[in-house]
Amino acid sequence: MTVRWDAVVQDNGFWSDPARPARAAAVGDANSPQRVQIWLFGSLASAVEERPITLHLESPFCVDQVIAELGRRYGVALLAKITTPAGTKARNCRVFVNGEPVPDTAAPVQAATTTAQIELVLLSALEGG
Amino acid sequence: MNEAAAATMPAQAPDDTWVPSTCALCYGNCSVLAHRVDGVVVKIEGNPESAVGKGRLCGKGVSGVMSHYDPNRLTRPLRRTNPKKGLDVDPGWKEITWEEALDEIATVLKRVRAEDPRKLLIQRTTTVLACFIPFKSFAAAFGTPNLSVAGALHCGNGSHLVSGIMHSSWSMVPDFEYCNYAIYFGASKGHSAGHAATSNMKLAADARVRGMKMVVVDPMANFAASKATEWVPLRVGTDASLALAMCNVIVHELGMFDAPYLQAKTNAPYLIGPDKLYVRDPATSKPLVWDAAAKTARPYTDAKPADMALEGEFEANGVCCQPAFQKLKDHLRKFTPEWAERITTVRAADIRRLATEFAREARIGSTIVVDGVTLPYRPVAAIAFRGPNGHMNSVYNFYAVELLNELVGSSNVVGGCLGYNAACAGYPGTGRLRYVPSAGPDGLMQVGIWMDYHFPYPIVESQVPRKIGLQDLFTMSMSSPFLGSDDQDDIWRKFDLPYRIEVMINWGTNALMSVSNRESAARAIEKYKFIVSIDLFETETTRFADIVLPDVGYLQQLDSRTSFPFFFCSMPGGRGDWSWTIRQPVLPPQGEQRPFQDVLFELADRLGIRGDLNATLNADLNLAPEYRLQGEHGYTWPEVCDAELKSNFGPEHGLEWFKEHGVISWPKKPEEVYWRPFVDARVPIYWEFLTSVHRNVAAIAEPRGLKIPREYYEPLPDFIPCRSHNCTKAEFDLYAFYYRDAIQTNSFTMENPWLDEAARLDPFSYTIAINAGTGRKKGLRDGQRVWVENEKGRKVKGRVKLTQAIHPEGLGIAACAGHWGDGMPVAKGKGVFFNELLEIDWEHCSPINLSLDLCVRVKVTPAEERT
Repeated sequence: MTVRWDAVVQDNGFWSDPARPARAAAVGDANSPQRVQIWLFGSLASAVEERPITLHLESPFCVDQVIAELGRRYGVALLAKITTPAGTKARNCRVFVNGEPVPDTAAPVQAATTTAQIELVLLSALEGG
Repeated sequence: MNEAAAATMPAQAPDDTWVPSTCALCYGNCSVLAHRVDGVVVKIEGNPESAVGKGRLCGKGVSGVMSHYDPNRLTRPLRRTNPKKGLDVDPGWKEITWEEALDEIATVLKRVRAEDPRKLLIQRTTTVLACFIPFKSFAAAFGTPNLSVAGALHCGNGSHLVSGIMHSSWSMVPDFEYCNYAIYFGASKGHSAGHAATSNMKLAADARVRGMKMVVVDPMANFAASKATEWVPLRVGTDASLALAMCNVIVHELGMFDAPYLQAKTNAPYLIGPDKLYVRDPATSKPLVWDAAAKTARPYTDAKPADMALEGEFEANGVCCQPAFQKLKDHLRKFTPEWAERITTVRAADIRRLATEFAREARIGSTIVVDGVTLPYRPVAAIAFRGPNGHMNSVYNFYAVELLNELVGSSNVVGGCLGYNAACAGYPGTGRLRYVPSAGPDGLMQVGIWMDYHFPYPIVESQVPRKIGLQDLFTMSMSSPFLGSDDQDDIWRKFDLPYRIEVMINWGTNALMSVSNRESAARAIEKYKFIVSIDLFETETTRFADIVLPDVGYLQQLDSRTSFPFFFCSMPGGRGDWSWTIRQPVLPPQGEQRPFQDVLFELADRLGIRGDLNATLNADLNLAPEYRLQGEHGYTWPEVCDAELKSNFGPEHGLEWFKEHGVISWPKKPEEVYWRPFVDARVPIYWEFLTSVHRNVAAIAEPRGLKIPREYYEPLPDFIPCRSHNCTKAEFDLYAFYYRDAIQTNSFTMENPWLDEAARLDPFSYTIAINAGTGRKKGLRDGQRVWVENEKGRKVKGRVKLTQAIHPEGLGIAACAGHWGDGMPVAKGKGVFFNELLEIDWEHCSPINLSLDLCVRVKVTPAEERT
């Protein structure tokens, strides 16, 4: 009755490897400006008339920079929908780069040989059941 | 015959087919086989090929055929002609064409979306999960955050929150295969309806045969308690005090707790300062622990668990501090069994005995080998569900019960309390559907998957509310009373809510019955300028609609994810298989019924938001890049289902494959079921974060005149009385509550004639249960008609059923009965409408998670007998 379970149970690394890593886009010229098309959907789209929005960002860039640039261009009302009061991306705002979900908005988006397609979708955040 | 009908009804071939599909008589979503002969479903059975039900089906499931063939089903779109709305007001329905209906709806929605899309409220039932993704995606595409589940306020604002924080799951269940001692607090897992209902029935029955001792703590001995080893009747709403007293006995009188578990998997070693907050490392901001080997405070990531002090007093950062476990231990001291006896009415000696049995049966320190993997073995589980949830103190109720598991280390290990199914390694063929809990801020566990994007932890920072439910202020809530509360306008004015709901799309809910008293519900719903109700029947709520659209039923419906997310409610916990199931049309629509998904797609096209809907569906369904919906293309619902299935299971497993097979299964691994030892994340036995949550909520609410009582936000749980406990009027001497009847689901199944017959034969389904001794003292007799009245004068009438199987102070009413509308004639006038006794306002809901107080002090008086 005095055995420490953590001395007996071995972590076999079962959960260490994600089964399907997100596919990175092809790497282009790391130092040239990257053309990015931003697609805003749902309530985000109502704040901006154009869709897609085209940005040119220095490569490498991250999604946080994209969000900051959207805030600069379209104001705090849009930014408040995308981010929390603490300034981080709201969990119900999902971001996709070339169709792949972006779990870490601070991670560099791989520069691509073609225009990167970035989608921001605001989903419902609260529901019971 | 339309296209869908043609697809399911071969014109020439003889028709004698068993079609694999999914039940929808409750949210258990059991897998079924529907036997169709010459275009008529003649029988429904469980599908043994699926882990969801494993071939079993309950009384509701086999009765589903009667719901389908009910002649009172809606079959034509209807338009209201009477502009007046209200209780018992005739809508003056006239039949209209689909074109007329969709034209009018689209016109209204266009206007509202242009003005402020938040003016649209989408309300759906909790019973049929097929609506979950389509409506969620439609709401997001439209741009409204106001999406509600009418009856959910009675469900899990407490249970799902605490299960999410502590188990990364929607709910919890004993590991029936290995558990030797389970204590249920107001729960019926394995003995009733709902979550993994029929799967759990088999597992629970096998466990009882194996010898698992089951103790049921409940004011009423019904579905679970009637099969239990022991029934412990307690005063309604006092679960937290009993659980805290048991914890006291375990820690202070027995000195039994699982120190290695607490050190490695909880925040028990984190140092707490005099301000009730973590003492943090100045450089990294990480919580500090006391490293007993190094004799110094270190960030929790830098010390070995075995060296982390759980008890004592130390100095760190220049302040005196104690490990969270020491704080808990000191806190528990006041909850003596004698104190708890006064609150719960459970004898102190019994509390000591139960605590001792639980701690000893936990076999702290033991391990077991399962499928070749060595795992901790703690064959005890404390679980709670709907009972403790229906109170203002629901957070502490669940927190206190969960501490029993945490103290003995029985959380998500073999034989213990399982959050099901918190971790899935994914479908082996594609690796998709993978999710696993992980460490969030301060090393505390965050869920691997959740029903929406409002995770239980970390707690989202409060904001000045912009949602009508105020969940963006009360961020530990899910469902809200403010959609139907008497004080909603006052509340919204306090926070300068810049809009009001003008349009409601209702799908299958009967909010007039499922939330509170009908007058309050009617007042709220009357304010909406335009209501569309997509429904099977004309319910009491439908009668407030401007346009009614006839939906298809579950035997006519297509849904590509009836068992996912796996953690939600259909997949059983413990070992076995994962099964992904679908629902498919067995029968064609009747009359002009249309699948609601088609209606939403049509509206999206008319509103010009199909591109947005495709994008939100991509996100909500998490489609792989190669299967994402493109641009503004007008996909059909079957095409969306096909994309989802191929995305998850590969191109060979599309909709046609699933229509033939109904289910795809693969085995669970021990590391998925018993993930706790393998996931480096801790759970909080000390909810330090509540201090800052209170500060944030109060900073917004109190300047606007809404007092936020701090006692609901303390880091350690306490017993807080409900309003009903503070009633001092002598004649209001009973605690009324309702319970979920195993043979009914919410208010919907009351219309089913087979279930109605079963309910009429059941002595409790349509009656008012009162303790026999109490009843005799009042001069009541079995079958007598009585009034049950609350302090505000609201009252309901019904027949008494005297029984020994209820606490002497309790008054139990089954289900959501007492329909009064003409649209469901089988249900009309049957049973007792308990919710009429419920007040709904700020004073009757929890100031932390907005749980509505579902217990009511009542008086009982004889009613005149009908002649």
